[in-house]
Amino acid sequence: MKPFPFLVRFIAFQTVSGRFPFRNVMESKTVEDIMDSRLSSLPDNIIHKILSTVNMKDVIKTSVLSSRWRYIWTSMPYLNFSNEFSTWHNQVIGEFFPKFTQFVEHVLSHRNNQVPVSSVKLIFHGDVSSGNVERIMKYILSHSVQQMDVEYFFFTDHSRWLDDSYSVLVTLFSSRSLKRLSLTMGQKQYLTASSTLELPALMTLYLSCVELYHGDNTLFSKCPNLKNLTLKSCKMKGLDSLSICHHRLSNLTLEDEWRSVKVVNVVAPQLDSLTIRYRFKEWGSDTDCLWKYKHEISAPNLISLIYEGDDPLALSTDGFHSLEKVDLCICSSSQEAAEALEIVRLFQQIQSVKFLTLNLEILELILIRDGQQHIPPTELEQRQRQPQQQFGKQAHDEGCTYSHSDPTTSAALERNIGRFFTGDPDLTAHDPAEDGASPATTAADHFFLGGSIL
Amino acid sequence: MSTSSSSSKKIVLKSADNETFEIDEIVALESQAIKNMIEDECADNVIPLGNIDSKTLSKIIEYCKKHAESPKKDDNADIDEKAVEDLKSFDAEFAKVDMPLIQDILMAANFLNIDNLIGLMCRTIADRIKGKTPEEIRKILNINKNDLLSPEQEAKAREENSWAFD
Repeated sequence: MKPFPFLVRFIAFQTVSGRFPFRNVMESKTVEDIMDSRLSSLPDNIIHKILSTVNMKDVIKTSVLSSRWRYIWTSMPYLNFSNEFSTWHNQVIGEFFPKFTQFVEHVLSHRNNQVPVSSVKLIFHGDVSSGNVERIMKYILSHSVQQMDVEYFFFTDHSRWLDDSYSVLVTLFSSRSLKRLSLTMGQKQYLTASSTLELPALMTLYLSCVELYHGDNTLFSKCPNLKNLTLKSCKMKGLDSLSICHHRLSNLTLEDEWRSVKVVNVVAPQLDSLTIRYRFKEWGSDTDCLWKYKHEISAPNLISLIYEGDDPLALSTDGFHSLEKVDLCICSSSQEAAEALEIVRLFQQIQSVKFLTLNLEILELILIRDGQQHIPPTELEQRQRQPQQQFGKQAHDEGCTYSHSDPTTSAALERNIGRFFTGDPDLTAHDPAEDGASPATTAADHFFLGGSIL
Repeated sequence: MSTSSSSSKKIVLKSADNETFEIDEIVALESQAIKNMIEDECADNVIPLGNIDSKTLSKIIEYCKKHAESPKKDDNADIDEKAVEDLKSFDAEFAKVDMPLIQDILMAANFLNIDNLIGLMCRTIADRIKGKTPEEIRKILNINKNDLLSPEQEAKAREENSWAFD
């Protein structure tokens, strides 16, 4: 590939200088054939792909690279806008954002509009006025965008963002073409939507720290095609609950780091998969964290349920009839009997499940509760130090592995869990809430405990 | 020609410089183009790749082997986390080659239609040109000097897009 190392270096040197005094003199045809930019022979779509992660400002600068690159940017279907300081460093702070707004408008008006914009990524850093944000959004969404990702990173002095009057993105929530929208706040600040989302084509929605407006309609009622929804630390304006009622929804993920709501209400007849993750960043720092989440879930066709949290999942449901896979990872700070009862109640609610994965802490909790089939805590603690593979990375520290190597312990666990699922009266007798519970039959085929099957 | 996998079907690829590479069919299937050929039954014993040299082809085979033997990301995603990490570090190491070879791999991957590899090479190139001046990018990408704009053309391009250059 490099038969002319000397000439390679020579050309490179000339290229750096930016001028080509020997252009017509150099007998370089064959050298150039070899050194011909391999990229020139690639189709535009591959070059677009290379540039898809590059800041739009740098993408436009490629127009001076060569004649091949002269108009490449105009047909870019992926647009990345970021007002980060490094690319706009020579702007006076006051002109910072107006310049950025102008830039976005320039790109959209100078590009080849025959080529649809398939995705736009907007990253805002620092002090961004909602008027400007709205103007940019409106402008972008008037260009039939299919996918939009918006991220905000604020400066550390953010007192004004906590002001309730701060409300942005009114028009963001109305587009006929948008199929995927993601909105992420970088800090513990809420972005307030002041109108209902009206996105008839939307299929995937990811919101992080967004305060939603519910108005007269149900949340997302004007997004009839929504299939995948992720809400991370989101809440509804003026309420401490979150209600999601949607007929097409098939995947729902709820995450929270800031204890944004108290009650979650889900009605989703076509829901396949539900993931709930509550790993709090401010454990014990204020009195608010004494309350627990309540989940009211109506999803008769649920197939997969994943729960990771600091408390047992408090669930009220009208039943799951198709449940196949449940992963539970509860990393409780207390080991109270009440928690064990909540876990037993949860087992009874998911009794029809075929595959169940648990972390060892759950077992510890329920075994402490049930003193008869006791496994010495020391033995459990030892096992706890081994890495746990069933759950997400976050859970690894507190997770644990149950090893199949000890048949006595294994059998004891099997008996215990089996009894929880069969509604053994010994276990429920002490809990008045369970008095009316009818004995359930076990449907679980396997218990996965840190990778082994009992 | 390892004995352990001798039972699986083999595919022979022939590079532009006539070197042959015998690989398991499963490895070859990482290429959508070869997969289509096999499915349409128009793949002979030897598949000639007249535009890919042996150096590039052996890199591509290395990539496909690794990706073919790694568990695919499916609904058992939680179990495969370690494998995903392992593949990530393999990809990062794989991309640590010089720009001409990256561009050759990209072109070949585009020809063979290996989606993941196209993505990896595109990201690698993007990372190397990010934040660089046009002069630096020309050098990094070895842009053909016959293709360069004349000083007048370049001035015009800069003027047209002056809003991106300040």
